Amino acid sequence: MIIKNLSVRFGAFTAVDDVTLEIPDGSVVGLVGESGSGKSSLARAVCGLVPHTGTVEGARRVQMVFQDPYASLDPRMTVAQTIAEGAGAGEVERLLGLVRLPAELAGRYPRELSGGQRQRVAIARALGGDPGLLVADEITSSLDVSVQGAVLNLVRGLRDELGLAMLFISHNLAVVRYVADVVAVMHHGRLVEVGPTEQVVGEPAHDYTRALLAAVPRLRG
Amino acid sequence: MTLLGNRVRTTGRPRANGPGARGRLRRNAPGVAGAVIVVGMAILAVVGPIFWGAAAERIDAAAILQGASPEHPLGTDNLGRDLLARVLVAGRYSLLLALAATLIGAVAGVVLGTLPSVLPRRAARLATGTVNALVAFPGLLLAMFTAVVAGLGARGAVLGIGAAIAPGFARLTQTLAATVAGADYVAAARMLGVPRRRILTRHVLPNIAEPLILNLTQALGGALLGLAGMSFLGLGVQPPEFDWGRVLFDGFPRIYVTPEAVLGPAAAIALAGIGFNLLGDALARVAARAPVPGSERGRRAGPVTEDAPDPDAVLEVRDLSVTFPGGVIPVRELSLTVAPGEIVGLVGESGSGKSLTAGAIGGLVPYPGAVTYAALRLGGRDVATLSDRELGTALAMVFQDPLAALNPALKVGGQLAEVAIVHQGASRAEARRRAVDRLGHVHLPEPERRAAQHPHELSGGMRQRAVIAMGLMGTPRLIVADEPTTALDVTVQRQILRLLREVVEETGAASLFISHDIAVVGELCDRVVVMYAGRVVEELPADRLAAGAAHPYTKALIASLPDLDTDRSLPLAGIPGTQPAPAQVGSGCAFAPRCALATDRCRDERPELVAHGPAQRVACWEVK
Repeated sequence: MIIKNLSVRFGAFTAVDDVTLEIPDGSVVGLVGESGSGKSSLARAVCGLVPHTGTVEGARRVQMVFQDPYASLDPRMTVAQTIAEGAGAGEVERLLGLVRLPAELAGRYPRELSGGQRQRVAIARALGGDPGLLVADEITSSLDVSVQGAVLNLVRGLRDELGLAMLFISHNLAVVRYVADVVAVMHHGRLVEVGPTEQVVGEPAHDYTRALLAAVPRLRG
Repeated sequence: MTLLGNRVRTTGRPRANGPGARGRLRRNAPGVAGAVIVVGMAILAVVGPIFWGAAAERIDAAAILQGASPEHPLGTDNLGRDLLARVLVAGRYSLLLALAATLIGAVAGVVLGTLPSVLPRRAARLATGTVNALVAFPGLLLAMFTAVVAGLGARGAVLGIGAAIAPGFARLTQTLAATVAGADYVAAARMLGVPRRRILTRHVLPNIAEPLILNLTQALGGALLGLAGMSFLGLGVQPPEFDWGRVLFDGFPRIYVTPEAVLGPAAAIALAGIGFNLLGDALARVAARAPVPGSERGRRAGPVTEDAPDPDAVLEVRDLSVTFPGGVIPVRELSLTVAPGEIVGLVGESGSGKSLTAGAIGGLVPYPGAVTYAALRLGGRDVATLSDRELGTALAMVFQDPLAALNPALKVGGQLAEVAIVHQGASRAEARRRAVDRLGHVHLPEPERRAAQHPHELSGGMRQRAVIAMGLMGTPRLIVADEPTTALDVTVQRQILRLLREVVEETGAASLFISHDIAVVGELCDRVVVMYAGRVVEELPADRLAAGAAHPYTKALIASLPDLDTDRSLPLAGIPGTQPAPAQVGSGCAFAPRCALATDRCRDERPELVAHGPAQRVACWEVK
């Protein structure tokens, strides 16, 4: 699928400025940038949640997984009810299996789950909507490091198993590098660099990409 | 000194121990009184007409318009009926009418308030406009207008009061529904194609029901007063029916002759109104789970530790525990020291107790947590003996959200200056000059201009600089930074870390840097303390993190962190399972259930923190 000439304006402010980006089937495109760079506005526009100009072509349906799994699940619905909303009750067990959660969790409420489990439920709900494109907006940034690894593994596993196209948004280049096939760097509402992951990380062409890379914290020694 | 001796001196100082049962009851007294009154009213409504129904209707030509007497404590009316009996009987009718009016108002209001969320855009705007107009319209006028149109009598009055209540409910519903409509789970449902009406009934209404029901109780009190008012104006209940308002209306012409005739109904109306409002208030407070004000800090009631303070430590913590009621101990016997000019990183997952440790040092553990320790010294002195002023200048705290640490209504410079005015007794001009100087010191561009701006005019990174500058208004011995860069972008994070390092080197202050991100800690800090389930599991120099970490938990944390050299063809390492909650920590090593090396010994017996080579300490049986 392809995002063509997409712009998002809030009054006089242009959050996303004429972005064109291709997301081939079965590949993960990582979108990096600082807060205010327009990456979340782009995601919400692709999902049809904010008014925009431009087109999104070739995606049957778009589903989104949100940053904060504590806010993205209805506290008054069980896991099964949440997942069944898009997929129907018969699919709950299969979807829980896809995100590596035991079927016993179906009757639980979000408050009884850990952060990582909640994020898996949110992914299962999105998969239940049979998406042509899955948009993941900072899905690991409110999780603990020990859980993040498992969720990132799941994301890669889902791409291989289901052949999903995915737009994976994060401010952490190390995380994006791990899951994405293609990296797009966004700055002030525009894409400043797009390319295969190893190339963007290994030989960054734009100054801003270099600044982002230099800022990634590393262990010494 | 023996361990036992040390323990004995840990005489447990409940910090914010809170009030006893009597104090709690005193603060809940209004709620209890409200409940008693409302229950009393309900009982009266049920039994009143049964016991006094006949007396209230009995006409006695011989006792017309009498004052108070032993047979008629509140006197009689113009047909000789006993007024006390009439007041007691009128309770049922008054309450039923109030209930009906409230329900009408609430249902109409909720429907009106939810319309904007289900209607198409233009119709929704119309509905919102209608609600706005109705809210602006005086309630009493709306009630009287409706009552006159609907016809004189109880029905008109109930509809009138219902109409007066509805706009308030509509506005409340609309505001609450708008909040929920912005939630991520509603956005998710919309993307899944769930129709609007279904989103309203499944997601929105269940999540706003609680405050609406609470509001109902208070509206009931208001409706009761309103109906009494309508009857008193002659617009409400008509004879031979009677409610409290009607009895008051009938007695009013005689107020100068026999005032007791109006005393009964007036008291009943006032009491019922007060009862419902008190109960509503109390319920709302319980639902909001608002912290009860007035808990004691009690920080200064401490025991005197006899052992000599460590002269080389700015911060010395020994056997610090934070306890919550019910045996929940999120921080357990934690010990650490921080030397001048040193940055010590405290790292752990959420729920490991790292932020509560910072809170305990700054005296910020929330009620009803209790802090105990064998030693907690800042600059060699027990923090319990430090005055607020001394603690305020010796300790600087930087939090995750700089916007929450700054008052949005005050200019940045003024907030900084206040520190110097309050803690150091500086003059206003002197304090302001110092504030601008400090803002420049943290490399805020154009400090003069920034000082005159409000916090919202600054970017996230600038705000965090301003908060650090605020800490530098005093002469801090210790800077406690709790996840100061978590809300910031990586590039800004890099700048703030550099600033912290610079400030520490320049002022010789020590810093305790708390973070969940072991890479950030490894980059900034001199020494790292790793916490798990409330305890320190490893302590090591930061430059040994990559190669020399010994505890399986520390190693797993490092392994699960992707960096720019991670092999993309292999799955990332994770840690199976979850950290136990503070109440579920058993007698063995808390990490044992998630540890690949765990043996039976690990599960039964907790390893102490012991030296592992120079400058490193580990709590693990399997590290040799």
